[in-house]
Amino acid sequence: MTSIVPIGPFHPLQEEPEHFRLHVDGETVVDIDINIGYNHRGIEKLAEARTYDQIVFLVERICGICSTSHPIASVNAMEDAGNIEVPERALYIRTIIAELERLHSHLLWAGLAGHFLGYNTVFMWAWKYREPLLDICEKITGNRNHYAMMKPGGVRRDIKPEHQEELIKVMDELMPKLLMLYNAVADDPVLHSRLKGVGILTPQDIHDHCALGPTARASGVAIDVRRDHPYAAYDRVEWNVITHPGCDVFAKTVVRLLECVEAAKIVKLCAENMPEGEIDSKPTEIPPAEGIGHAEAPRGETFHYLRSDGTNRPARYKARAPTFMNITTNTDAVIGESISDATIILAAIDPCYCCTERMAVYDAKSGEKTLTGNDLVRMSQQKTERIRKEFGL
Amino acid sequence: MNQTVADEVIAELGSKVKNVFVHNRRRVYIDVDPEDFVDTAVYLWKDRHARFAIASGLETTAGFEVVYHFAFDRNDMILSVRVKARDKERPSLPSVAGRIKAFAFIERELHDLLGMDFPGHPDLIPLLRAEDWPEDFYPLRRTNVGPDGKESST
Repeated sequence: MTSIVPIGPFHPLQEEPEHFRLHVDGETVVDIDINIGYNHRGIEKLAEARTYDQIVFLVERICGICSTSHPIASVNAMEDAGNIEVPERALYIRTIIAELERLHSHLLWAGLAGHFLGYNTVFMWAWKYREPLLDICEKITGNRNHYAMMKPGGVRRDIKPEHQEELIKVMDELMPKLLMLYNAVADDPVLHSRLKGVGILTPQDIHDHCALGPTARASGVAIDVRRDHPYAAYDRVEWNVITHPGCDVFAKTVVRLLECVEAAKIVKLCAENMPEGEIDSKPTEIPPAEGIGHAEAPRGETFHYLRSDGTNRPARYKARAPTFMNITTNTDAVIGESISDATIILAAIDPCYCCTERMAVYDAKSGEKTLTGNDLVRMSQQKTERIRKEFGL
Repeated sequence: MNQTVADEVIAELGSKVKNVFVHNRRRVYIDVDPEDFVDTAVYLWKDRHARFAIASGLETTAGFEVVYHFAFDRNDMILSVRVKARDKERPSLPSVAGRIKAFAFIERELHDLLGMDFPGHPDLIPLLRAEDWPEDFYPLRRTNVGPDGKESST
């Protein structure tokens, strides 16, 4: 008999409400329906009635975790349309803020993934190491998130010399912890048997869905906007695009953790090598034109398109977040897998999806609730525990 | 380098390309007729390994158009393919979703928000549209009749 497991759509921890209906036969997922659109806010339409300066603030509200990737893509689009030059120092500041965001976003995911798997130590470690990052963000920008740093032509705030030094210190302290976290995952036999071979996405699947970011890079597809279409100061510092050929959830975990190491490296290099000078070229107009801007958000490419008619607001504004492309890969990743692995597979694309509280199993015929969300998390955690015992750990 | 890739693609597409606009070395725009678009998209995605980034649909004074953005990640270039719908009253463009999975969601979104039809789409059900929205209310259109019956234009 096939049961239906509804997951979602709302939870306070999610900024992107999604609703999955898993069709389950025994323990195996046989089909999945994906529904979105529960919280459509009409931001593209709103943007048509806002000035370019206001739009940067508006798009910052699209996402609560990767809040700075949308403003960067947005100013890139405006600068592309208007052929606007940006001072060197501003490019470095944009890079620092973007990488701090990647660090705290990936650590947030690592913590949640740990919790889903019954590794609450990982959850507590990852979120503990995240705190100094949010503190330094608050010192530089005035906020733990939603930094309001970007503007067409530059950035709104400079980074003070003392904060530059503190950035270097925080990154030096963070690096050994990130490596420890990575080694803890890479050496753990239980995590290997729990995550390896689970939620497979082949490079062809990535190409079919045009998937992005760590989801693609964990299938060995080396795409990264920061390297392929350089913006900000990414072409001015040395760093590596992290890929993994595993195609499974383990590979996605490794890619994200190693990206944290690279991000810390980039922040430190930028803080050390930031040139002095202006932070804003103060552009005054955007001529009639089309502009495209994109940026590598923690979850993949964020893409913005605008059409200017020469007034102070766009005739059309399009914003596409990475999860829009990544979410459909779940159809290939989750079918055929077991229900106790579904939580971590759906969470593996990092759709800011944390809504286990809303999970419940219904009997497809009677509609009766048979399993609660807590039951499903417990099933996932119990599977880890079982494997742990088998390994004699 | 970039120019070469764009030139190659445009040469290969031949008479399908009706117009070319080079904004700068990283952004190239081409115009393609609706009946040629499916072949163009499959060629770019399959033969040239371009990544379909997204499509932006809009209503202009001349009618409806959709700009499909293809990223050439190895060449630091975005090729945008502009396709204009012929019918201004009931805009419609051929669906690519049956050939390339990545088009499925955005075509559903354009159907919801702009009222663009995609004949051939395997499952053109609402994606973002609320259940209680009135029929024929498409928020991204220039002129709309709102739920209160008043006409608004932007």
